[in-house]
Amino acid sequence: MIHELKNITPFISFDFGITQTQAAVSQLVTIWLSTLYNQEAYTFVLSAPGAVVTKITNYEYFVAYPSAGSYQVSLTVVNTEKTTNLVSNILNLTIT
Amino acid sequence: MSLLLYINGQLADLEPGQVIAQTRQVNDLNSLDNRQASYTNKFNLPKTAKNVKIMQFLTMPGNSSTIPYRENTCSLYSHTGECFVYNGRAVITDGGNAYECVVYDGIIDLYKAIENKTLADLGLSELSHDKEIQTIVSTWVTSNTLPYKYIVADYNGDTTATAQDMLNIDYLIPSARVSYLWKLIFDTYGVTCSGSVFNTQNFKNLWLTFPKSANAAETQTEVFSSNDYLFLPLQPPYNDYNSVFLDYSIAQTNLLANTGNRHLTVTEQGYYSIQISGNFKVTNDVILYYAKNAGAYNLTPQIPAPVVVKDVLHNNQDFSVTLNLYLNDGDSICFFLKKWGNPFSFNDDNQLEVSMVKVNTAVDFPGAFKSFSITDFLKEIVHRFGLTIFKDKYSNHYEFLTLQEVLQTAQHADWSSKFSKKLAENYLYGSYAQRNWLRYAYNDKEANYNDSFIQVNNVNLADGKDVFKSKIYAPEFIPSNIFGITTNVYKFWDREIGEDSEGEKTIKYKPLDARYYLLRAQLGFHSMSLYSDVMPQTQSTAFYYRESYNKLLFQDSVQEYYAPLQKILQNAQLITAEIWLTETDIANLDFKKLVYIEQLGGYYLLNKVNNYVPGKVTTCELVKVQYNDDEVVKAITITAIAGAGGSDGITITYVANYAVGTLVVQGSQNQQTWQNLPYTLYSTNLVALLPAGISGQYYIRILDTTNNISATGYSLMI
Repeated sequence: MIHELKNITPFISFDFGITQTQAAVSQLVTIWLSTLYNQEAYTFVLSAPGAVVTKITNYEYFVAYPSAGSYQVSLTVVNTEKTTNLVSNILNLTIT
Repeated sequence: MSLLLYINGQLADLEPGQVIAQTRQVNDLNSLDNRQASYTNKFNLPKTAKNVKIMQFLTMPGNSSTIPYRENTCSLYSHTGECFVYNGRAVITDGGNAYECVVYDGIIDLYKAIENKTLADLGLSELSHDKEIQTIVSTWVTSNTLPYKYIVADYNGDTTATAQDMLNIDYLIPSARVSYLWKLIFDTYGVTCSGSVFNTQNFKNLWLTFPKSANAAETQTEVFSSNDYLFLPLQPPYNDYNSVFLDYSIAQTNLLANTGNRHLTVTEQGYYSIQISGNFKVTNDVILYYAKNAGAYNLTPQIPAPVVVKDVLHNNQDFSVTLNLYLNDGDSICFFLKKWGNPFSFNDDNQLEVSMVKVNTAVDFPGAFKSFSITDFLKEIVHRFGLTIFKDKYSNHYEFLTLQEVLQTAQHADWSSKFSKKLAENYLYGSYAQRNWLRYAYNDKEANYNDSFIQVNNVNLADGKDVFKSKIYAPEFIPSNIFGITTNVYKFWDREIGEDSEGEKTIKYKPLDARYYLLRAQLGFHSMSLYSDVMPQTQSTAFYYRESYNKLLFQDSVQEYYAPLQKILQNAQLITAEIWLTETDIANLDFKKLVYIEQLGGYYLLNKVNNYVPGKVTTCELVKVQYNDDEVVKAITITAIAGAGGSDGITITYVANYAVGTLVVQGSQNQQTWQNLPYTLYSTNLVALLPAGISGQYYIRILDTTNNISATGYSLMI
């Protein structure tokens, strides 16, 4: 059970569980992590190639893209014991 | 082994060899009903001269000691300097030959600080505002800064104009940001808090409604009313008029000065609604005008820019008009009848009635929130998010953790060398039933559609019990529609259907009180015009915030925050064991750490330390937790949805970490009311048909009815 909880897959989304959306160039888009982790036991890394990322907390991020295109975002949660990398679902973002 | 006890900063005398048994706990998993503090057993304080002085001569003749009634800070140390209790609370009573004392610490400080306090005690000045159209729009524009927001939903008021893309703001209800209230509680009482939950969207986008109607028309103050009138021409010829002032002989009040019997001067700025009705017997048609601040003009033709109130009043015509105005302090208003070029005169039996009310736009959050205690508010958050409160021993910092976070901790304490023996192994959890209900309040007292329960599969337990009864109301079961989008109904008015004298259907909106709802705000785009029945302005907007009930069902809370507890309870092993705990162990006890005991073959949550006495073996309650994933938490997850809908349907890809049973695919526009969708099951996915005619946000979920497991709603934009 603990093993399961320690390795629970992170789930990220835009507002209210949405996993794909559109935004304008330079528009701030919020990404939420909804899976809870003991913050003393994990670190959090958002992967958003091409984006300017602002980390609000481990559970909230702003991303903004300087140019149009299709982008993917994911988040990796790393156990501080460095034994586990937990990779989230992928968000699809179309910048127009 | 002597102990050192400080009460209100003074070292108290203890009997030689005094034993003070300590019980330590943060959250008894035996009972979800409440959260517990640590405490000592009752012990004696001898009535020595020093103790009598500390107690302000309590029990001595003529004393006026306040010690039994006040907060007595208290710290308890071992003779080696280990701190057992730091800044706890001592409750003192008289025990005859000695004083009797019980020491509490842990979350007691927080609960005592907010005891008998309501949300109104927080000040809430930032929530107070005037409900005006521009204020409402500003809550949408500055979405992240204001602590309140007008979230568009069906509050069971008048929404008929929404069909014409008009929104009557009189039937909108403001909501306070829960995170603002939460922070204010901790700031007000000088404590701090932390917790992952408070950074999530589920918490940050959570709003608590103003608890009653905020319709300005229902809270207006009459400032003027008269059916006593004269027609005052002040312009020759006096028999045939070109224009006349409406003139009233009513006396001046503290809200209104009646200057020259015709200029009504208000003493407070604000919105005013003026109703004029009557019937004039005139020889020619006239026009009813009003003018602001025209006191300097004795003759109506001199008044610049008069405004038409009622155009063309015929002889013997019944009329009734309402004029909504914003007036500044000292503004005056007058009414007059006028007809250019065609003089008119009056016959007998004219009728005129004028009334003026000040519209109360003030939204008094502090006054309204008096009915919500801070303790209830704290309980609401703690139960909704399945939180345990951990107080920092040496500061006023409280950490709120879910059981999932506690179980994820990398830290554990190895108590193998301290283990003495197992006393008992129990399988029934103290106060649980088979179904442990989290319940909403409902307008329909018999309803329970948003309730849910924590299941314990043990037929030897009682059928069910309520572990939490929320003060928060659930929205109505049947949703409504605003701007073509399904919306929940948060009832603030009862609708009374009637008929007018001509047989036409009428609806009266009867306001309700003490209705607290939780909801979320979701950005929406729709071109509309905002208006009010009692205020003059209108304003257009292309975007707004509408309600969402995402993850607010208690079913969602159970699934999201109580799954680990539910898992523990399925094979509940409560071990009572004797452990050799040292003073250092007790002083540094950390309930956030798991306990490993080799002799018992596993990891345990420390539930309670009972009656610790230095130098003696201590009885501890330990809850067994499975470390390995031999017992996996069953889950279904929708990983993708593809397809355009229509007759081809949508293809739902899902994963389950167990052998699923009978599946049901459901769809919803509001995540509250779900309907079954026809589907075809393939080896790796499902193809489901969407209902005809839906558009906008839509949610899909899969239920495993055999195992009572559901996938979280997957959001689609259709």
